[in-house]
Amino acid sequence: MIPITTATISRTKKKKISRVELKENIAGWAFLSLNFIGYVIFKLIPIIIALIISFCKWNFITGWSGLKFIGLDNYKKLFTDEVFLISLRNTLIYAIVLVPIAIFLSLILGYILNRSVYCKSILRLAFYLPNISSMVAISVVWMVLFLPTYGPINSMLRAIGIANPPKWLNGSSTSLLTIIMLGIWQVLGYNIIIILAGLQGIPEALYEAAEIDGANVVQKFFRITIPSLSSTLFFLTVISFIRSFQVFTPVKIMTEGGPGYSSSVLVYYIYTTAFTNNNIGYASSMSWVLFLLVFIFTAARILVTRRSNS
Amino acid sequence: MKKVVALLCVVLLLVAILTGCGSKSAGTTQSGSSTSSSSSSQSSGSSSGGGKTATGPTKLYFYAWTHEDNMKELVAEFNKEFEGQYEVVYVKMADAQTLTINTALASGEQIDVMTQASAFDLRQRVDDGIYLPLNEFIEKMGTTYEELFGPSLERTQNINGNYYSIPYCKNIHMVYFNKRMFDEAGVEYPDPDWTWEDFRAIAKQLTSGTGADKIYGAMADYVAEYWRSIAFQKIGEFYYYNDDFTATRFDDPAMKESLQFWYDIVMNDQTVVPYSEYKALQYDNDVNGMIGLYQGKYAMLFVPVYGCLYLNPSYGEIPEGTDIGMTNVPRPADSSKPITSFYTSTMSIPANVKDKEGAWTLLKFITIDRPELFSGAKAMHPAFEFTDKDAELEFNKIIFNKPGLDMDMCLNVMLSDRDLVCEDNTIVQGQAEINDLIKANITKVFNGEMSVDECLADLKAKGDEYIAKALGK
Repeated sequence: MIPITTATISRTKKKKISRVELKENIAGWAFLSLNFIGYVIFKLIPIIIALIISFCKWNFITGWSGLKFIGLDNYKKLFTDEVFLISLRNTLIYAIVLVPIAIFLSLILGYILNRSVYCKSILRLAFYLPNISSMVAISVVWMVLFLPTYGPINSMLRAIGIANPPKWLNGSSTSLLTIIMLGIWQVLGYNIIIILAGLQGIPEALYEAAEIDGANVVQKFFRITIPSLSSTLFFLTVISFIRSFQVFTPVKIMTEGGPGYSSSVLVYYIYTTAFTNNNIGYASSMSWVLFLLVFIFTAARILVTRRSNS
Repeated sequence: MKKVVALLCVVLLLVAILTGCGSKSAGTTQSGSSTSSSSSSQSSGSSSGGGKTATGPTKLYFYAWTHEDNMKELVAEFNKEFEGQYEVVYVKMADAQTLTINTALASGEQIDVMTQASAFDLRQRVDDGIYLPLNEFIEKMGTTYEELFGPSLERTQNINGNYYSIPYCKNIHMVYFNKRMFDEAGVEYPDPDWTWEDFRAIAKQLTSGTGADKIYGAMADYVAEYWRSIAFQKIGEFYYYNDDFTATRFDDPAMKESLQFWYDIVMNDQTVVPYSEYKALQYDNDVNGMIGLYQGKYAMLFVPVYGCLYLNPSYGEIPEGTDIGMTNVPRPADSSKPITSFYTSTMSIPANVKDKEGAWTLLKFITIDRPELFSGAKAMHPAFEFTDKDAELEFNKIIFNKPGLDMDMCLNVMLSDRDLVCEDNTIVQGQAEINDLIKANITKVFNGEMSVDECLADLKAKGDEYIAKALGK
């Protein structure tokens, strides 16, 4: 007969807890596996295959037997491919210009919408609508708005005395800028929603205390609002950069990368290389460059989040 | 309970994945519907699966992007003529884009006959060993490719001595014009033997207004690259390659003449719809192009013959009394007779086809024996050369019997003598890069950001580089 001691009771309890924990873990893993299996099959495996293909010359209609290993040739070609370098430059410009402007405007608009404003709900809806609208439809409409000869925007500019308004989508120096403007307009709503959520988490007592201390509106904004929103703004910055690197639809619909290659972006060039010119290997190498760009920002976000949590 | 639900979901997901990734034979024998992609659909006389069966005709799968309704007659006629022997199953692809047909090829679907919309695609697939050479079948017919389709087509479709495609249409560039606009402006209709300078003068007479109300003399489909019309007329096939395809010829005087002419009428005369409006108003869409003509946005429209297909109330209401005429593309002044370019769409047989004779029977039926069922229905001329004048007349009547179109004028013009130059480019070295560069530079020219000389010099320098690189590999 086993003497019943405190140690025995404790070991029995641990054993019972382990069985319960085990059952809970199995249930947890089972639920997670749905997403995980999908992730592995539809994301992880294609990413690995793309990496392998990036070292090959391949036209997919030849089947796997047509895969021809060429080492680093595709990556070497990237450094001398003028169109790739232009597309990469344009993508970086797009991201670097769009993100700060979009976040700044969203911050101002979000701050205003968080205060006493008439028709708050309608305004929020109006700002958010572009974000949920079809990008193809938006692009087609904006093409007509920006018509250089008699579009509404240039007609208005001529009416106020600007004799030679910009060519917008038809000008090499303005086509990318036009697409950036569209991008800012489209993303404002999403940014405002995120910022509003952050603003509503700031305690009102902080503002009251600041007011008692004699702080004005500007001081409250920079000393309370911005610091309180820092993690939200950081999150938005990273997400916006990641999304900006993947811009495609407005370029495809409005300019097809032209005039010249002035509005060609990385994803568009990858698309034409892969599916128009059937050069899957080279397109895969460009995809991996894009992946690394996005990964840098994703890693930064994860590191900062971990540090702030710890 | 939670665990049971979770495990059930996992099992269901795994079953779904394994079923979806199963072999194609399991999918195709279940029903008549396609398993290749969600963008294709099938029409057939029967619902059973593909391949030769012990009893019953051999099924032949024909892939194209024509609407199923327009294929019914062809399917019925073929199945009737070859009853008991062959049965065609038509598979409609979502569109004419390269990716759609490439996906069908890569997926291992049974394809016996398929279409392609570009000579570049044809050449790529030939180089990848996808297609069956058709020489033996043409020889069995007791004729030659040149006799069947003419010298220009033969030169462009001949790939290293073999023929891998049969063109099913000849899309000849013509000029449709709005007769009422000519009448109102007091301008005589264009003579079929007119020159480019005649066209320029007439376009000026028909241009009026400003801003959104401006009416242009002409519209040309920039995607079809009409700027190179004169180059094709003077240089011939493979217009930007030199004779041995080792360099470009963008420094040829005909190139300068061609691009300069169009630059002058678009940018200086401003009598042709500018590129910016062409894109924004989507005149690159064939339907919109014809709608613009009969709604009076412009008086003349450069477009292949099949443009008249869109003179159909289903696309847009045609104003009462609309009368659309047709004439030849203008010729160079030093040319003795009308000359115009054309391009083709072709059909091929995959090399892994199970029944070569059956596939050839179907291909020949569509392109040579009964062209009125496929190309005629699309207002396209068959690619072969007519030997019977009555048959040619009857075929043209099928094409030009359209509401609002002056059929007599069209028949007179179409049946008159002209030289034809094939635009198809089956030369592979540097083609993809050069085509991209042409598109980039020409856009800049017609935006006023690049001069004609700069454009051609850049095309020459870089084009030669691309070809040299391709040949050096």
